[in-house]
Amino acid sequence: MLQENPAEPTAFLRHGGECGALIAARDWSASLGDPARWPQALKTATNILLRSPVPMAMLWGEDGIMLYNDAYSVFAGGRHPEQLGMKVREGWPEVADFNDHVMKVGMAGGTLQFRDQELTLHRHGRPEQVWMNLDYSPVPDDAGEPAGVLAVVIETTARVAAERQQRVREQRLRFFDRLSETVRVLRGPDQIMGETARLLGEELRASVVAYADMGEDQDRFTIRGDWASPGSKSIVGSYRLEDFGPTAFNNLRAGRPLITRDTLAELGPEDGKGLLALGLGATVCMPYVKNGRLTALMAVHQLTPRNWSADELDMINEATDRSWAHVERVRTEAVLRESEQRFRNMADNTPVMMWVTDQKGHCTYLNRRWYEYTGQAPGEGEAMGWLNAVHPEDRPAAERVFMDSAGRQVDYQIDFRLRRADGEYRWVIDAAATRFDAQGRYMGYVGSVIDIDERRETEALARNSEATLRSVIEQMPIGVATARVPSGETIEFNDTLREILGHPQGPSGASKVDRFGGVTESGEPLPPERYPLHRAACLGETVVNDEFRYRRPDGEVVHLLANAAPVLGSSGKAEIAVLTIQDVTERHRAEQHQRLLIDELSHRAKNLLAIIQSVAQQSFKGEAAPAEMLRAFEGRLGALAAAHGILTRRNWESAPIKQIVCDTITAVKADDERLRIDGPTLMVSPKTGVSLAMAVHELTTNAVKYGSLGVTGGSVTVRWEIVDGRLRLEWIERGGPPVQQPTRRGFGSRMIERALAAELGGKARIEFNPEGVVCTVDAPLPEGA
Amino acid sequence: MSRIAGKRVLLVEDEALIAFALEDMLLLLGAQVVGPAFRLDEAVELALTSELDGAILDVNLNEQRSYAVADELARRGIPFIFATGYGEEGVRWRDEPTTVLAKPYRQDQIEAALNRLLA
Repeated sequence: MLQENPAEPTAFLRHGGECGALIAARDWSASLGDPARWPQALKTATNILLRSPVPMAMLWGEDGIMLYNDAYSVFAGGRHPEQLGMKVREGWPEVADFNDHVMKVGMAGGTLQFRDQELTLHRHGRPEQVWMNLDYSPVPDDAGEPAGVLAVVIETTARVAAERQQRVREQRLRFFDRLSETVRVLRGPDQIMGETARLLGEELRASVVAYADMGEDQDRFTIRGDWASPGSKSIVGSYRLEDFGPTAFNNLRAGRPLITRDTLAELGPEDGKGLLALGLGATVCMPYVKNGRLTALMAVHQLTPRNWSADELDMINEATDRSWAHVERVRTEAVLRESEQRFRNMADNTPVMMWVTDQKGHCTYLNRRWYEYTGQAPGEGEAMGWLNAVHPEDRPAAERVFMDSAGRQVDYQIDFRLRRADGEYRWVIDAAATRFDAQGRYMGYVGSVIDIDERRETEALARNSEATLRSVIEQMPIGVATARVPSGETIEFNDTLREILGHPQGPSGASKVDRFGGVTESGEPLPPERYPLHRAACLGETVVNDEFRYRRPDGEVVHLLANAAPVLGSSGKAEIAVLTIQDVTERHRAEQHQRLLIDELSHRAKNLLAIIQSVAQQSFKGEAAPAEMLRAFEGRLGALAAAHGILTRRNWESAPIKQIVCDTITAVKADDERLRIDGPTLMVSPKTGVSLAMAVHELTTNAVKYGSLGVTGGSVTVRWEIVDGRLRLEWIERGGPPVQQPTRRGFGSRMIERALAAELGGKARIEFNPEGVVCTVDAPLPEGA
Repeated sequence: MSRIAGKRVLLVEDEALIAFALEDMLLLLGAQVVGPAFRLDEAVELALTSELDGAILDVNLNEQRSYAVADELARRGIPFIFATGYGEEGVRWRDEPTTVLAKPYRQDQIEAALNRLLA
């Protein structure tokens, strides 16, 4: 079909679309001549080109006359259809050099191929960046010599642009990856912003990147830190938004960025004064708005004007948002950390074991007490490590209850044995409460662990000390009872008290101590309010040394000494009252006895004084010389004293006759061989003893003065015997001077014949026989003799 | 002259020496002494049988009380005085007021007491 059709020489232009028709209609005389006469090679190539859907152009001849198809015409844009038939160097003047090179190579038989060749074309009257795949190959004429160049042109601008966009995007992603990687580990807001500024500045090759906090007044702001490229100056300091001109003020206050590509040109010297003063030829100042308020700023500055791309602006915007958000998060975290720290500090100083879990049921924290108690290494109890301290037998149950409760998010309590640091397992109560955050979201558990063995031991100890107290009370040598306040119901009664009160069973539980046998002075039953324990328990009195009489069930009346008082419990309130009772009956008797003794002593003393008075009265009467009377009185007192001495040594019970006689005589006349004293052991009553002594004394002094003891060779025999159940006592003097009857019966005679006789209940007489005085006593045997 | 002269006074005193002194005092005052009785039975006998104007009774007679004597004297309407080393508290004879003379006593005390008693 490409064969020449002689009948239709321009048939090769048929079916050539719009371009085929244009070629056919064109007058080619000035360049290629009548198409009907074109060389066959050109006709064939044109026919192929016109029919191809691929944009193609034939550049024929040295000038590269342009023949192209409909697909190419689209590519030619506004240049079509004029471009058809034009010399290629003129058809694309903006790339004439490029095409010149193509023509030269092609006409020389070479081929050229370009992939994504970037060209700037003015297809629509304005410069346009385009990318193309270009293939150039020579087309031989009928003689086989290169006569033209066939260009296959495929525009790749859209693809290349997409690829470029992708690259920018990837670059941006890498940048933000780098940024987050860098600031992730940073905690201080200044560090985070400082690093963000540095990375942004380096990425954008900016002059200065600064960040600032807005003041409360929404006007003042402080540039806390910045990054400045080498050769640029830092702009750290405090500023006012107002000073940056109305454009900056209005934009930023409204939350819009302030962007200049050429500050002076766009804002003029007045409006741009603030930026220009800092030497900023171009700037992107991004506001950070939170809750409708301008909170912070991030600014990227260039000292020279700069045409910020949309990508760059996006990047700055995103970096601003990200970094400030990060700063806020860090600040919030710091607050949280502080409150967490506060919680831990508190929890660590709590004497109770505490723990906290997260939502998953993992222990995230156990307090210091837990680790001290269990001896686990720090952190060992976390996650499920706490179970390691639980007794192996209790562990499955502990774990099950825990997991089950956590699954249902309910509070729980469980007892198990927990291993203490010393290896001992102790019973504990583990009580856990669910915790929720401010939004009501389940956050896990907070729990406490209490050693109940400790409590049990304390209770046991208390019980033990109670038992000790009870046994102490039980063994006390005085009576002890306790009663409840204020009922007066008795609780405790010790054995001593039972013994004292004579109630072997003690009172039964509910009985009161006032049911017993207290009696008043007059023998009436003691009224309840007089009972010491009643007074202490029911009336709150303290009873000190109260004595009362008490009739035991066996009828014996005893004297009791009571003390009672309410006992203050740990609550500061009296719960019981305690009573102590002593049986003071014996003491009472002893006291009475003592009183009797004292009375008796007083009586005796007075009696003795009366006797002395009497002795004196009788010694000092008559006509004897006063000195003699005094001597007689003293002698009699001596006898009296000697008799009393004997009686005192013998407890005033009785006196042996022999001792009375001997002691009385020897008090007057020292032991003398002229004396013969003899008789059986016989006792007389104290009073008789005194009378006997006084009588013997009178006889002795008389014998010394007038009788047988006044001379050598005289003798006195005192003897007594029991004859026919009667006492016979004789005083017989021999060998003395002749005795004369006394003219007057004196004290001695009276003492013997009346007093002694009356005392003994018998007879006594003195005979003044010339050969010597004889005194005889005849009386019934003294009682107890 | 006192009312005592010629009056018959019973003397009951278990302590011989005291009895003698009292006897001497009464004799000096011109009284006639009945006794002295040293023992309770002796004293009761005299109180029953003697003609008496008054009496001085020691309360304690060898661990016994002389109340039986007092009873008899009271029955006979014969006035008497208790004499005791215990003082007034030592006398527990009926509830009637009695004169109690505390030992040791002086002669003027005896005289005054007897004068009142025999009035």
